[in-house]
Amino acid sequence: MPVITVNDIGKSYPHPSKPICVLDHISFSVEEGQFVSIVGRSGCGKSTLLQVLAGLLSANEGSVSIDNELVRAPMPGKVAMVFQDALLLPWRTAFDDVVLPLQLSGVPIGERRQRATEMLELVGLAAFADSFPHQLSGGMRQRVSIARGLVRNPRIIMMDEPFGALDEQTRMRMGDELLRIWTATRKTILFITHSLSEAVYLSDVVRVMAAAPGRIVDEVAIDLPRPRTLEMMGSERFGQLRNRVWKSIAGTSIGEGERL
Amino acid sequence: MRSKIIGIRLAILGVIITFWEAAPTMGWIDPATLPPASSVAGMAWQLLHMPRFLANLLVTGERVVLAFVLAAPIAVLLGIVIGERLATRRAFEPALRIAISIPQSVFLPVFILAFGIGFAQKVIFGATHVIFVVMINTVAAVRSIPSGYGPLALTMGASRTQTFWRFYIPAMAPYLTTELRLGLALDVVGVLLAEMYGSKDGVGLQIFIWSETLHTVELFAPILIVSVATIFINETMRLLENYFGRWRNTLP
Repeated sequence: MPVITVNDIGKSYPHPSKPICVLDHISFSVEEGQFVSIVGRSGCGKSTLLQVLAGLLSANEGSVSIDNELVRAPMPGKVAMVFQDALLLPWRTAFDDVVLPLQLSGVPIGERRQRATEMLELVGLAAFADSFPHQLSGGMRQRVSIARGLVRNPRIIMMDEPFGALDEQTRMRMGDELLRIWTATRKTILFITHSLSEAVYLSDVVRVMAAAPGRIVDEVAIDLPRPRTLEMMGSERFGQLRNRVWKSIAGTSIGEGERL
Repeated sequence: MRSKIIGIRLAILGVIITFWEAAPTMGWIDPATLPPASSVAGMAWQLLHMPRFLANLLVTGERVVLAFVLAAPIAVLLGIVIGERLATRRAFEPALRIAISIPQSVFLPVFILAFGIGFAQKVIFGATHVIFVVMINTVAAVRSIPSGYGPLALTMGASRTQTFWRFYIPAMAPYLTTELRLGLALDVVGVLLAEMYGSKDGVGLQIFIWSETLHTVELFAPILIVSVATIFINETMRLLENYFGRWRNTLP
């Protein structure tokens, strides 16, 4: 029984000559506890797709259901979002930021303090509970953002290029950190990225998107054993999988009206 | 380091007061133009015990506060409504920019023709000094809210009210406190100006009369009182501003 079902969604924006198709008949499903990545070049519509799945945008055609429930609006208790630039509130300390979703939903103060403390411990930032965002590094900010996403104990976490703004080294460490958190919490993760290595390294399944119109052109099951280690990145299998993803991206999108 | 800085600040104050005291006493400046600090301070102390002067001070204070309380909330609200949408922003911002570039003091005679020289005219003139600066800065404050806060609030399950109070207002708070401080300062300017130009009471009238009759010691005393009061208010609001903006990553 899949936890997310995407059923033939299409989205286009009106345009004087002819409507611009952003998402073209996209269908797939995600199993409970899976780590699924969607890769594609910038501008291929992967963020739009995620926004539709999160209920932030509506599609013109098709439907998305989560837990057998049709997605019409965001589902705060069930689906958490982690945005690219962490989007922490600069006037709140790490602790106050993590506690916010509980505060908004009226969880009693004692319980929410405990939950927020646990989540900060989970992401390894208990010592930084009283720090403001400008006092934290980019990676730490994103970890606070993940803790904030986890605090209401959602089933699904959708991440929109969460490590896109980080440097390569931090990015690799954050990947391992995310896998550790994922193993500890067993959430379903939907991960948007433009990094092929990152997608292959983290995921159970990688879906490849092509642009103009945005569509899914390949689906690659990543059969690397878990737990994943950095040594695997040098393995032959990793190279094969990464090449397969690359070929799907490169092979389809050039010469179909898209400029590089 | 900190105590050194405070020492320098006190020294600046000391130099100014010493010069103010010494210049007229030593005959560098005519005491009829600038009376020494000590006599002005003494006169200020006496004035603060005179019921007639206190009544004038009170009426000026009432006008300033009333103008601010009437104008500021409306201005903030209008600023938010205008700033919220691109279309309204485009439609109203030029008018606001032009309004704020005209010195309002030139309209004072018109205000007297329209509203007379009573209490209401002072309040209205003060209010017009508040409204434009607060409005235009509120529009800027709304624009400064990161566009990601909307979707963020939605995915957290925030209601419209929660989104406003938990996301938008705190994001705007440093701008709001700054603009309200500016608004209040201009409010004082407007009310005092109106009182000096044509009035039956108020500190402004008092200053005008003592200046016309060459009572320089009496003239400087209310100037000193008004200055100290506005400095005090301004600094209090600046502390508030720093408190609400303490998360801003600025250089020390």
